[in-house]
Amino acid sequence: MNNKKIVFKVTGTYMRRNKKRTVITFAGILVMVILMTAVFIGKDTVMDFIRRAVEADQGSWHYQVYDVDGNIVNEIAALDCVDTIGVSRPLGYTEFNKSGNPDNTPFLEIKGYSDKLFDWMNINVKEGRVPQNDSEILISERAIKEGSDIKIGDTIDIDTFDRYIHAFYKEGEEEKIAQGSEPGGITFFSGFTVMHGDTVKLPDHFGYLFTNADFEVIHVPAGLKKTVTVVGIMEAPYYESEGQAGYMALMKTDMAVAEDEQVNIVLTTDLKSKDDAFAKIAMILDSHRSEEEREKVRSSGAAYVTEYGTHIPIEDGRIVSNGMLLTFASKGTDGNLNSLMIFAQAFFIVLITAASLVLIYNVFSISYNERARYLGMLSSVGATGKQKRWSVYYEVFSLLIPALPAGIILGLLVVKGGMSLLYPHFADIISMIATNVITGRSCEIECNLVVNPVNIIFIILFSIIAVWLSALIPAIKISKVGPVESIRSGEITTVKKKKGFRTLLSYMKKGMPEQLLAAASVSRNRYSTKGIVRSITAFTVLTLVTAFAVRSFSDIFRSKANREEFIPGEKYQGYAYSFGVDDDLQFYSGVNDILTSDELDGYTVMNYSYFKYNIAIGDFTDEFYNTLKTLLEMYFPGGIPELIVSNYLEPDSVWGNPEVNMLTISDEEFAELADKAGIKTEGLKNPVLAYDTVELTTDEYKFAFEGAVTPDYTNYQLKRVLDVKEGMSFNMLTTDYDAENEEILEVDIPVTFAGYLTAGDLEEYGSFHGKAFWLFVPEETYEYLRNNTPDDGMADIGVRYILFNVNNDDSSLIRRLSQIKNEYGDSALSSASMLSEYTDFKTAALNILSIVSVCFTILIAIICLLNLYNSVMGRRLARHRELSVLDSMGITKKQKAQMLMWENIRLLAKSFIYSALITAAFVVFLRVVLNNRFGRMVFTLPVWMIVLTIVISCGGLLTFTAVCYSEKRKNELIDEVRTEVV
Amino acid sequence: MEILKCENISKIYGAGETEVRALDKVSFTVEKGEFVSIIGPSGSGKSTLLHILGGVDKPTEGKVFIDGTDIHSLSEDKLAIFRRRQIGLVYQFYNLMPVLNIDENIALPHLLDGRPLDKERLDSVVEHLGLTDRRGNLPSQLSGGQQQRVSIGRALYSHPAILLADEPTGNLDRKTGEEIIELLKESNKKNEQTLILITHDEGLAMQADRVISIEDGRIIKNEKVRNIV
Repeated sequence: MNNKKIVFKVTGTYMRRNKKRTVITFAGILVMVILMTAVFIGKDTVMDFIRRAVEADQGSWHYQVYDVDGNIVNEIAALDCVDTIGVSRPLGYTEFNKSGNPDNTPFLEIKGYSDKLFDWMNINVKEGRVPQNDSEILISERAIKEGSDIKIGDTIDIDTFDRYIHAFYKEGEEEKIAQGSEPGGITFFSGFTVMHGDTVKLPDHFGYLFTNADFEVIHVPAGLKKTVTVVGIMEAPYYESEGQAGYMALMKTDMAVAEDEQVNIVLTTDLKSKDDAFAKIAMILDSHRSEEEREKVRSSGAAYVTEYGTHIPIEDGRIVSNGMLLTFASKGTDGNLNSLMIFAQAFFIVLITAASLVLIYNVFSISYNERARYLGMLSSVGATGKQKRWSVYYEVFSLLIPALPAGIILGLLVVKGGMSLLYPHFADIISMIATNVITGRSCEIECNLVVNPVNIIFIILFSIIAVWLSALIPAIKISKVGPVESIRSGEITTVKKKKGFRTLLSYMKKGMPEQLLAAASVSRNRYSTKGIVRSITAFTVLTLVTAFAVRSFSDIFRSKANREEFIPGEKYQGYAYSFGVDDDLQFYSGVNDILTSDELDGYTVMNYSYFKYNIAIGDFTDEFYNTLKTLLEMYFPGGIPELIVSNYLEPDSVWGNPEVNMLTISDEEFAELADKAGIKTEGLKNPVLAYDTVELTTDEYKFAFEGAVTPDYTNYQLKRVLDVKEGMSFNMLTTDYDAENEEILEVDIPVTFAGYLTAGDLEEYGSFHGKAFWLFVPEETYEYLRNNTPDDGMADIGVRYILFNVNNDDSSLIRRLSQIKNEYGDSALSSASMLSEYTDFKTAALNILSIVSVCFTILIAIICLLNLYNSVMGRRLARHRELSVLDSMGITKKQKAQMLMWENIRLLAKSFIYSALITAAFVVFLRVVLNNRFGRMVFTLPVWMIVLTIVISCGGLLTFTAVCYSEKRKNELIDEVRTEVV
Repeated sequence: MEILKCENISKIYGAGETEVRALDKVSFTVEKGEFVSIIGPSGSGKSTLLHILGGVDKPTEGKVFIDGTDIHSLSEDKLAIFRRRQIGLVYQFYNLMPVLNIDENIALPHLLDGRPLDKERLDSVVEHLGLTDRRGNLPSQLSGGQQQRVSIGRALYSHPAILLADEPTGNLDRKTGEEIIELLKESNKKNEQTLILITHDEGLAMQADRVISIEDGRIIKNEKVRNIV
């Protein structure tokens, strides 16, 4: 038997004799492997779950490309990164005689789908089947819901046409154009514009229009004329909206596309391919443009900048990507999200390694005496430093070998179990989004584990590295143990200094032996206390750093999530109906109906406006101006063009100045809000309160200029940006149109700035985001603004809703209000669940990631608490003789308990000081890195997590002390001490 | 005046075949201020007897009366209080608190009893022990002899009624051992403390007023020293 084998054999015996310590070390390594598995497998599983949720909602396609001919289709199909292509043919409209809503939806809007598209576009057949040939048709369920009696087996005579619109010139306009003026145009709600004199095809899914004095609607035959049979009824596809002129109807079409034919294609890409599919498709489209067309696209929209710096004009809306799906499949154009995920993953791996490092180091540190004894003996018979080092590696790796398969299996179960437990929450989020916002239908998404063999290799690799790193220092330390160490036994306190210690006379004079013992024990016996201090510090630092990191990632994610400017808070929640009309007369008549109704069961008014006013940039602080300039410089590294300067930095029009969003609240609420924030508003004329934060982000600006680059996501959060003192006035800017001189005039409306509100002050009203400056005004100021704002065609200066409940299922009030239409012909009454529409997939993902992070923090906490238990137990064992001496001197139970309590207070205080210093250093480092990468952001403090960590640290130490020092343990400990010696 | 009385003390470890009778019906009495040596070979039950007398261990059978109180009938806390007021233990391996310096170790039993520090007395004890220049040192920074002095210093400072010393010189060289015995005897005489000394050094034992010999857990001799002489 060689020496190494002897060392291994002795180490094995030692491990068996010290079962408890071995089991705790094994448990720590096991939890580490579980955590590694959770990080690698959990991340992929969660991302896959969200991806499938997006698929269930928006379909599994990756890109849609509009208006492409046969040649382009072939070129796109030939791309390496393109996986499969499907064809979607807009076949046109046909009269639908069986429409139940002929005033608004008199047509069928027919599309031809090749086979795969029925699946990719999530066509959900409610009844019947999908078409199998070109004589069959599938009709949207919306037609039946709106009163049509169409059913499977019915036949429809189709005679398709395309809808065109011709806008008439205004009187005398042609002469003005002849003299050089630009023609006017008609802009519809959707943003679609047709210039006077032009005839253009209406976009897909456009609402019903009929000829009037401003324009003429022309139906041009599209050529498809036949009788088809209804073979199925489908749920309304996600792209079908209530306002469109035709119910969606789908027919089967073939894949062949003629050279001169224009179709839309839908395609999936190879997600493993490194090619930028969007750029490749954009380049193909661009290569088929004439120079004139290219210039037109370039001037009207942004250029896509490839990673090689090529600028491809793209902004004609012909390529649509399923952005969320690609993002969650890690193929999004939003590289920051991916890099954030990778950064988070790397961060958590470092944390896990740190946690296991502290655990393993502690295990070896607190059992150093015992090990020194047997290794010293081995050393005396010729064991070399390397062989002693191997005793440590043997111990940890012999535990890692069974921990790896067990940990991976348990990790998979934890991920699966965790996902199953959290599924109701996930499903709530997903179904809320899917049901209310996009498709109006619910979806079932299964949670499947995604186990990639590469990830398993990574888990094994990182676990080995973590364990090796953890064992490195103890191994080096133990390799230096000499024969003399085996002779020394039971040295509890090792004091290197020769000088004595100052007598703790104050405790002695005051007759406080418990405090004397505690103070002496903690300050003079660092050997046995540093394990505990290290454990609490590790627990606190790792938990808080994780909490800070998760909070920081969440803050970035949240700010990146393009959330709505305003997410209504508790004050606007809990109502079943919302009623809102822009027309004043109708609004007040409806409100009057609601407020005087016997059926009313609670209400509130929500009144907000976006970008209605501006504030002169000169009224903002230099910090705001400089940050805006810095942000713009990121888009224009070669220098900010004059046009941008005059539009943003030195505005030559009202609209170039920073915009203002506004929430109007009642005078009483305003007074309460001001009071809560400690702001005095009495005597102020037309007071306004301001939200103290403004976010300037790269998501808020898009530039299509030559030379404009798309910078990495950056977010600057600025506080108190108004350069106006409390109690002073500033102008709200708006415009008036002087028709006579055809001139736009600036209108200044002075208001008084009362003070700033924080996010906390505004919590019940909601959360507020974006680059616009948020103001909160009482009704009095609102009326003042309304009266001083020129009527430029808008009936109001914002959006007003009355949110209410009724006490009757069959409410006459609801029936009456349903008859009132808003400007766009939709009902002015809607479900108040619209408020939840503000939640989007990114927010859902954020919630899910937060939950996963909490689970992760709990697992990290388990490692650290195991470590703490181990340290408390180690100290208890090391103090066996010390406690016996105290017993022999007649210490009572109460005195012993007090001594332990004072020791714990001192240990906690010491640990918290170290924790605060180390956490602060880590947090500052993390924030500096994140701020450098993502901009100057204000990160929120996880206050509850700090409180919780402190409570758990205190509770953990006290509990473990109680357990380890209990009388019951006394006998066991004597036994343990006897078996500690090999 | 009788201060300590043992009545039929037995101590049995284990059961059945592995049963070991460490003490077998041991009875004796000790007068106040008396110096008694207990001698016997290794494993004879001397230390077990001392622990039972000091209330650190419990007898399987029999009773120990100190000043008329059956100490093993007391509750755990009352026994602890009794121990710190009446008993001073001096061990072969000193058993000092490793985290306390000399001053603190000496004053600890006194402080545990809720009595305030008497600084002057502490100073005089430390000076008497010749440890003035080492009073800030922890036990691990002291030699064996110095540690045993501290151990005796505890008894000198809080002067319990009975001083139980278990091989106090067993770990020391002869000269230091003699010094320690002188200190114990001084404490015995000066403070009228009862001293019970365990040793297997016959010469040392002969310095006592009385010698009790133990073998296999039984008292085989219990005689005044002058009778032996």
